[in-house]
Amino acid sequence: MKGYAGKILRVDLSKGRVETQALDENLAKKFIGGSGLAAKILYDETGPETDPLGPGNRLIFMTGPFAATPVITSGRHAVVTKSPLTGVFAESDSGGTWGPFLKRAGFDGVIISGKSNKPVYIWVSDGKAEIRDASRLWGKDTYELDALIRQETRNEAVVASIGPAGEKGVRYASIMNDGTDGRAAGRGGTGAVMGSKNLKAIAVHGSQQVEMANPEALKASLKEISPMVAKNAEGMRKNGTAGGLATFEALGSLPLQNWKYQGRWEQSALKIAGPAMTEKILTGIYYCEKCVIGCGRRVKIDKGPYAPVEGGGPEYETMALIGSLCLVDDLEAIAKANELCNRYGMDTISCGASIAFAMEAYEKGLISKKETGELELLWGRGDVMVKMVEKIGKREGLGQLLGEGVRAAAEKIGKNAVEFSLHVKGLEIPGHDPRCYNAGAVSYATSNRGACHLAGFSHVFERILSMPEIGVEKPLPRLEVKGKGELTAKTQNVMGLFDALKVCKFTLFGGLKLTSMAEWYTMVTGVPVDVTEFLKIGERIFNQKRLYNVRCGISRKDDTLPARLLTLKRTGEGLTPNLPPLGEMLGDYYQVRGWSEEGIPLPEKLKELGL
Amino acid sequence: MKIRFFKPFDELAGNKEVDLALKKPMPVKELLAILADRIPSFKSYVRKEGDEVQSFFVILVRGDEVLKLEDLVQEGDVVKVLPPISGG
Repeated sequence: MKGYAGKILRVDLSKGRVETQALDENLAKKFIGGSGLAAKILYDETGPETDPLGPGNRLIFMTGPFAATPVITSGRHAVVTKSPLTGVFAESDSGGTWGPFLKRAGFDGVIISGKSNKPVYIWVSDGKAEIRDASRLWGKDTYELDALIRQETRNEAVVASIGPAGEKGVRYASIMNDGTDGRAAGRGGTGAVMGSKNLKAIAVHGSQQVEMANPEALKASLKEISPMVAKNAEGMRKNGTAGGLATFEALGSLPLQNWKYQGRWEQSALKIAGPAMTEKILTGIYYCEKCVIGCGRRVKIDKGPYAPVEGGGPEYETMALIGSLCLVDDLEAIAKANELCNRYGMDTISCGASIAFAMEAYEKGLISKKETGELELLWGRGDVMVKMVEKIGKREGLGQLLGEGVRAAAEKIGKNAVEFSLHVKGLEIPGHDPRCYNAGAVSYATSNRGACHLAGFSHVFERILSMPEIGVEKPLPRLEVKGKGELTAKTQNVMGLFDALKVCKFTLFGGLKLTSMAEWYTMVTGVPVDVTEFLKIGERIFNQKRLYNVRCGISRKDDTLPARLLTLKRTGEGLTPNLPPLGEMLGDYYQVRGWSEEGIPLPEKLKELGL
Repeated sequence: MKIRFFKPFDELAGNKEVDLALKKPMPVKELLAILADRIPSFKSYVRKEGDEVQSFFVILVRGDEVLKLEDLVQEGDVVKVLPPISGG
């Protein structure tokens, strides 16, 4: 089968053993790659009894058939594991260059098992892999580490690593790659799993070519489509992912004050939105491999209380969670916190949500100054927010508790803390208020890793995107209820394909069609597929991930939103007071999915999907 | 002046570009009101109270400048209509 390296690297850290296994082509056809294929492997090799931080858990890095080919935005890889934050399926997606270089080194993926008895890193180069001692590298942050490992291996190597947060078991620790450009497999605590295995980094390099079935046809198709995507992505390139932040505030979509704020935050939003970053601290634009969009930011701050900052800049989600959720409108404080999260290796969404949760607990008198280490944990205090990020990264003082995530922290604090601990299935909520997108609400409630804006991406089909191939001829009005269960199921199936192929979802804003993706798949792999069959694969992948969760005890009771988002209306000039009617939409969603009323895939659906 | 629509607004407007003849400079809020009147599907991206536009849910760019409601546009300007995208 073309398009693949054809090999998977298996590393058993308990035994210190490295071996190569052939890629199972039948599985590759059924699940493609990325988090699709990795979900199947995780299902087969772990289960409800697996301790996420124990040696039995798997940490799976997986590319797709497009990595290291000319397909646009294909510089991505997935990390899949059982999450120490949620206790269920976790997938995290990162851009950059690490994935394509793993493939050029001769491997489609890496499956890590066991636990090393001392800190190690793995060096993968041109078809070979070795486990190396990392004792002297333990404790280094990801920016420092990147340079040190490239010195020991080769300067062109690409490094995926954990920082101190992963070493110390912060349950939302990330795995960072591409050095100071700060690309992150952020969500779900993959970095904590890596730390639990005493694995500090995986460095990759290689020069192998990927054989394609019809490279000439691919070249011709890309020649037509790439300029269109590049042109339509101008807004993204100009102001990054935070370009639309002020508009989101006007829409009521920007999260504020741990999701309880009433009124508008207009002037503050302008201070931290993409255009402000472009004007004040931007030094350059970052492109992942084969990217034509360029949403990545490079920033620099060389004076003032937060200097120095230099490297990858904050994304929209970081502005929203580290910033507006804490009512912090200080751009430089957010950029500093972003860099600290990158260096320590932490998800900025969960980290920001944990700090906002702590600010509310402090406001309500549930945590004291003694517990905060004499910090005034007040809304809007950028300086205090930055100090809390450091405490979490180092797991010092209150950082010890907040590093557990908001669900566990609320349980520990007790009293009514659970009322303002906002998460779905244990995963903190990203920066798009589900009260102003009904399909977005279904998506958050049903995504397999917990509250996720990307697994369904349905909220953008309620504003600006259409996809005739799935019957969405034009965007559905965001507050409409009818059809939102179906929309969410369909977009989740499509996004499952993106996550398996490892293509950036922002290409959709550039006008990329599903039909083109299916054609590229055939041109690269030689496997004929039409859109109908392609969507069936997407549906299979979503159900495979759901099956993992069902086995861990997940059902309808877990497919919900926190009470605050179902019962507290937003008010403010021009904002909608909508509350998503989740029960009704969920019933429709299960029906479209072919699941029972309890949210369990029915036998006939599993048979239809070959599961 | 020219209004250039980027995806998905080119499809909604049924046109990639629209020419408007302006005799004198006009605030962005008036420009948006005209667009909302001319292009029915554009209405949901503009919030009006009575006849007055209060806010809008697209991004308007002129050269390197992101336009606000009170900014003035004039003959000779090229204004791009981009979707408000945030994510990542």
